[in-house]
Amino acid sequence: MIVSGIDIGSRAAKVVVMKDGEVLSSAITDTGPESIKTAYTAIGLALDGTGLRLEDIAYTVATGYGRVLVPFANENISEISCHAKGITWYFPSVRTILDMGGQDCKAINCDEKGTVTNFVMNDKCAGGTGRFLELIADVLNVRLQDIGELSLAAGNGIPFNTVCAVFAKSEAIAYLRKGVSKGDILAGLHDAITVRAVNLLNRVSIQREFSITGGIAKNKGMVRRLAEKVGMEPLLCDDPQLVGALGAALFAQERLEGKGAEMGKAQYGYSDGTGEYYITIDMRLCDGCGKCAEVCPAQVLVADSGRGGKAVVKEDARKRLALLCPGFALCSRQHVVNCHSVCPTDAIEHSW
Amino acid sequence: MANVQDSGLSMLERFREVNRTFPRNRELVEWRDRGGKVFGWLCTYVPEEVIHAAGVLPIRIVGYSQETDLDDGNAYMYVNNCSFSRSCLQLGLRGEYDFLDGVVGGSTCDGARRLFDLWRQYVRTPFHHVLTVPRKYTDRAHMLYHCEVLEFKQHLEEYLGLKITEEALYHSILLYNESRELLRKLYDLRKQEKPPISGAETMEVLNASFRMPKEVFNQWLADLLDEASRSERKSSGRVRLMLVGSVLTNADFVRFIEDQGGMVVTDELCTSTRYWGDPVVLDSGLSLTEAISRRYLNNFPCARMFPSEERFDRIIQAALGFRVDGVVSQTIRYCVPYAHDLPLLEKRLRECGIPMLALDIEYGTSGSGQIKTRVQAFIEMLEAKRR
Repeated sequence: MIVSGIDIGSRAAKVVVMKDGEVLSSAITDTGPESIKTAYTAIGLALDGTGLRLEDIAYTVATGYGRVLVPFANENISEISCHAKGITWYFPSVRTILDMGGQDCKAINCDEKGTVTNFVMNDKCAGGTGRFLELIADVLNVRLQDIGELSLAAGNGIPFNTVCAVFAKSEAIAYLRKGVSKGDILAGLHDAITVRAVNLLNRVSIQREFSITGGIAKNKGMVRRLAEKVGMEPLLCDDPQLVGALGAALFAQERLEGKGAEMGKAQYGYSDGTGEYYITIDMRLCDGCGKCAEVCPAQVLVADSGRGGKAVVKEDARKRLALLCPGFALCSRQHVVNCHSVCPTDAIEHSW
Repeated sequence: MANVQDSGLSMLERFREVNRTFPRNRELVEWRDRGGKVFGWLCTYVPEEVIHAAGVLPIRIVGYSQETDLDDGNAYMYVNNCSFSRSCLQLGLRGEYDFLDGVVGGSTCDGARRLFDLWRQYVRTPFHHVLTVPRKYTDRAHMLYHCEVLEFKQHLEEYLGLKITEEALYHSILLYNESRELLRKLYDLRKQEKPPISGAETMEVLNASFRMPKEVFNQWLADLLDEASRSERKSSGRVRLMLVGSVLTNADFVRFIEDQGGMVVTDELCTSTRYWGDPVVLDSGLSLTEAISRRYLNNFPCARMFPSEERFDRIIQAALGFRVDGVVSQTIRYCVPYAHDLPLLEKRLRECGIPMLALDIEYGTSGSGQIKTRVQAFIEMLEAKRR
């Protein structure tokens, strides 16, 4: 069983391909201006050398900012749920996650199953995020991967009271002119970001164990400072940047195993750039009367003889559901007798 | 086919039409063509019955319910004024409210006060009045507010050259109470497992409620309720939500939450429950003006009121009554009363086992990428919790 998770972030696109519960391959690439193209590039990179093709993947879950624009995804789930799911696979004891991404930062609490119990996210401003660090590295003319080490090697950090990308940039330039070392400037900026991240963490509850995910978790200077401020050594996985995509792949696997078929609910459909199109049938409620299949004007519902006549969405309709079924709101306006009205147990739901 | 018929709510379209065409909606234009005066009010603490009893049509001043440029509003207001007051001022300066014969405000929050000051200065509306609204519920506060209502009534009488009779006041109270009762029934429909009307649709009805004569509105709403109770319509979602916070008139924002599977079944907003919350109690032995002033000060409170527990209790009562899975709070930036109450509210809700999502938005926002991520994650979290 092959599944994949794809996390289209604001700065980087990440893919994890899993086979029978083990990570088969992964890839990280820059997010380009065209989300759809980025999605294909990223999955192409991950499949490279595995001998697999896109068609071999049974289920894909998309997450991240570009999650609605992944044409081959079966479903999209928010990155907050995916990070919690992903980190729990590595460390089931983690209860607090700090996800430091390209343009936002999130503090998440989760339980032992990787279910989110609380979360907060920074506001619109990208100050103190990955993009901010990129900008500063650029101003100081050092490589992004070196700034963490440089900040640790510094003597005294320059105190910055702003993490506004625009103000901090001009302040950094002013310090450079005064002859302050790059390390000291970086140390100050890392401190400022740490304070901001800890404020975010304080808005959820910081519980043991603690983990950092997202691209910034690869920055040793940041991790060191956060560990000191939080007073806990964070558990870090091999590649913290991949945690969102891993979580998405784990959700994909659950869906196939039927766990995601929440308490006996079967979900058919997909979401794309135009909306979410799912028909959900509650299998515990469906009594197999077959009335919905009789009245469905688009004939997308059929009685499955293999399941005691219970209703299912016709196989060849699942991937083009929105083209066939106009959705409940529209259909019920044209047809007083419809799948919902004839269902004696209210087992059918439409998402649109 | 014989069984093809429209099972949507046709009455909803009439309310939408009012909002789409406001201030050129037919009901308002007809009123003015008959020579009727129209006053705009700015806050839910302005007693509409008094304006109505003077034979004037009270309508609510709101901003653009969509995102728009606020150039003029920005030019006159200091940076820490909220986008709602900016949006209202923008419309005023653009002449969109030039048809108003009067404007009535309350000293409710800084945003509303500054808006009123600037309006008085730069928008040519003939009549202005601002009521001082106390922040407490003490006897002395009630006495003060009753005096304010009396003063407002007198000011109106002098300006219009007429006497507001007891009969007229009584009639207006009955009319507005009827409206409140009908809106309560509309909300009761949403207690159902699969309500026949969505949160976004309800907001369309509410927006229309303060943009047209209540005589017509009540009739329409009664028809809508009749239609809805007979309809087979069912809205469904993954979770049930309550919306709380700053002033909100944008039905698209509610639709945006509902499109993601969060069914909005009730709310605490000054454009809805806090607007129609309580009736004026008539058989209390008080004078009509005091019955009105008591109703307005004791009504489902704004976050400006003290102590906050009164509001929290009502929110929790509604959350339990409508069986919500979670509460979504939307705070307009610089809406200080709501922003400051938020941690306290969150604590109270947590004690009741109700999770809350806090969103910082601008007035008129329909939902950006970041807000979408939060709402989606919140719905996923609530769904997982329910399992």
